[in-house]
Amino acid sequence: MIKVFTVDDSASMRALLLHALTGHGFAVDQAEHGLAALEWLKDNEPDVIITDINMPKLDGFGLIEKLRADERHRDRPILVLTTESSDEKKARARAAGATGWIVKPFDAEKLASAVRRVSH
Amino acid sequence: MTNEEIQGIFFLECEEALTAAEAGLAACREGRHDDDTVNGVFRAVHSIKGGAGAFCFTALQAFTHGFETTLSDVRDGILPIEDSLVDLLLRALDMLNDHFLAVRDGAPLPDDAALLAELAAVLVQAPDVAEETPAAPAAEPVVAEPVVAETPAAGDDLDFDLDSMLAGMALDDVDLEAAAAAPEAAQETVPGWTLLIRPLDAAMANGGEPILLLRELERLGGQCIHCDVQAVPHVDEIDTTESSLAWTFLFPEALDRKKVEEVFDFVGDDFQLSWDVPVPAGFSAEAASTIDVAETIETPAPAPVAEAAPVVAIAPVAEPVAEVKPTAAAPAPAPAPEPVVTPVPAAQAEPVAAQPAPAPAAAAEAATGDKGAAPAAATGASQSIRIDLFKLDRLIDTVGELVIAQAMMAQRLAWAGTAAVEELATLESLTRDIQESAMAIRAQPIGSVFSRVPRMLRELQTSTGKRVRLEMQGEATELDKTVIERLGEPLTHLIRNAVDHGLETPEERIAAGKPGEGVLTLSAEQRSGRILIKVSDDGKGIDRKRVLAKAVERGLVSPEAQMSDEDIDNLIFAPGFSTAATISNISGRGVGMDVVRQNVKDLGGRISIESHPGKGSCFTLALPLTLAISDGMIVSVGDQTLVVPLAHVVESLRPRPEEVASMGASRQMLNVRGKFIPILPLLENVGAIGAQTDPTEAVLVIVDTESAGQAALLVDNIRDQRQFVIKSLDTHYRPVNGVAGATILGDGRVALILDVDSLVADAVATRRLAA
Repeated sequence: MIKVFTVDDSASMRALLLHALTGHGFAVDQAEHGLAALEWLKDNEPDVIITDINMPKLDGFGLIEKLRADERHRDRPILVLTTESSDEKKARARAAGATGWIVKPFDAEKLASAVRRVSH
Repeated sequence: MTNEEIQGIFFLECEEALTAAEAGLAACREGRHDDDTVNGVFRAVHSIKGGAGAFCFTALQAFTHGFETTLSDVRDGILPIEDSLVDLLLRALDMLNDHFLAVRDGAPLPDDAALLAELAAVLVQAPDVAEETPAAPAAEPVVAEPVVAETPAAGDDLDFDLDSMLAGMALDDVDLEAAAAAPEAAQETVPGWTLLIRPLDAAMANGGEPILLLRELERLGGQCIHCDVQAVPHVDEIDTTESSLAWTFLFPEALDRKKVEEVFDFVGDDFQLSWDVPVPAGFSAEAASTIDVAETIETPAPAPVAEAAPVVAIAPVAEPVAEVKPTAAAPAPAPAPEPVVTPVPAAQAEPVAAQPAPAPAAAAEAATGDKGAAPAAATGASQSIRIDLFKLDRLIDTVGELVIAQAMMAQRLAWAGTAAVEELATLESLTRDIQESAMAIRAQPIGSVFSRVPRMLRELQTSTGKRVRLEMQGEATELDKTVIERLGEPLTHLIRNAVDHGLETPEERIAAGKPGEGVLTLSAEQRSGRILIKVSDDGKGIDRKRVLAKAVERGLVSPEAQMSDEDIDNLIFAPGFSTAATISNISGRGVGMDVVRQNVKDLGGRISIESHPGKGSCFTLALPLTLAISDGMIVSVGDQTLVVPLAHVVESLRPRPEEVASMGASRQMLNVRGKFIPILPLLENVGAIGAQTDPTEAVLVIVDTESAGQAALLVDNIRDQRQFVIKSLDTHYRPVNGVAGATILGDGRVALILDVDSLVADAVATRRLAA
């Protein structure tokens, strides 16, 4: 079973993601901001990470940078899921090391196929 | 979880976000606009926008988008934070609130066109951003590889975000067709269409795995007809994190391009995609010379470089591992020093990558063992969960029962002479801890109520023409959730009242030698087990002449009544007094101050007023920390045990004979430091047998009431002071005047809890009549 880890500060967004992803047969774990995510990722190895950008404490860019700097997470697929759609933000996410970018509101089917596509 | 439930979470989130944004903007207004504050506001609006999109609240989403766009420029420092801008943002926030109410409660959709235009207008006014930003080096560490610029036109169409796809499929089709129309030249010869895929370095760097995508293309019916290896460097120079291959795929005519596009949705610009490239010379569709994707991608990489080996070894594809000898390479005269011209466009030697180092799969696999057992619990400190309030209340109720049971057991053991056991002390302290923890769960900072005030004040300022500055203290003070929820209404009323009646117009203020801007102070503090909330203004104070005249006119007091200033001030709480409804519709919208007092009383609290002519008024609400458990003084009256809520108790004493003055046959007054207050023998009210009637032999408990001033309750003695759980008589029996409820004492007996306010008010009224 593909294990997906989602990071989003919005409880409703977490609920939606949980709903959409478990509905497509993924195992889902969640955190509500970058720091919590890092903490969780110390002990866990999800197949795919889906992260929001705008979050308190540690935002998505920061999270991705930190993960990419970590041997264990260097090659882990990370999808960015956000309402931001500016090219500048995308470029920045890619520069930080994001594997892909999905714009909210997301379509559950497309999200699921995206996860399958990037999961090794 | 149903969609409605998730939506419910979203609404709660919106409320929190609105509160946060309000607080942030208020801070900005006061000149505190550091990055965190501005970012917080942005994030709040942003998160509403995200949810609005997810739940298809289009109007809300559209408005948040406009709002966010402006906020984004504020956040990025493009728009300077000035008062006028903050005011605009505050108005936008109010509008956002209205939008929120529209989706949540079905309130009418606000007309936001003008405001959106204003929000857009500030953007236009800003210095030409579009030109300056890219130039400013600080703006973005433009790590965005120059590669992005080289991405051919098709790549632009193939943006890797979803919005275009969700927005309109039909449109997309048109765009694609147009884009595809360009390099149509050599396509005639083969059935179907082609796509050249060249992974850029980034495709490997970020956990990407191109082979997965290529396999997906094959599944869609694509055929890999050419693998471009000319960019593969010499074996010594191979960097496994760089890509150096490109593949040309042939797809059947019938296949929708969008399907192929979707494969690259999420990796976007990491791949250079060229649509409808010429088919390489020598390829014939019939000859089933399909190149095995796996082979091509694996083959050039295997350079006998030491570190390359392990990488290949853990490749998710089983077969190629064996073949990774330089000799096995099929189409790879790898170390081509000079780019050979080939039919493939995009011939410029990209800094090329090879093996997509598929390590993560293995790593993930390896880790699978110890994972799974640890759910999302390992998150940070500020974790929170949402609980159904009903469950929480049951817990609190049960804890209340536990407290009583513990007390009962302690008493029983005391009778048995075994109360000194250590375990009992431990149990008692644990019970108390549990109780406190349970209370703390229900406690919330009062800031959530206060935060609604700024908007109200803005509206009041507009409608009254008065200028008000808000000062808040003790926003972090916590009190019971129910109290907080029910506090909103009385507090709103008090604030409206303060602005409407308390504060003067700027002209009046200046004429009175005060600053034109009035100050409204909201404060909250915890003091001896109660929460004191104060609403004070520096206005003109209560106009006692007018209040008295009005009370007389309404028949509330007789014209001859001798009344202290305090008595007159308290008249505004009298039922039927309400000046508000007649003077304006701002204060309370026709609801009088008596309702405010009733609201506060329902919460187990009291309200008092202090007013100084010309200087202002201060309303103080004294509220219990919780509604479930109260502190009470347990008193005996004859054969009855009663509970006097401690909130009312001022002091207790046994008077000396000279301190008691008789007024007629049945009335006695107590002289407390020169002030006379009526003595009320409780036995009359509770029908107790054998109770003490002589004040000098009894104990007088002096209580404070809202409507009837102070009174001294005559009881036999004080037995204890403890916490008690209020059980309503209404549900178990019927409402009884003068009784607030009942509780179970430690010995298991039921004791009535006095409703001091009504008891004293009734007694005083009866006595007046009797006298």
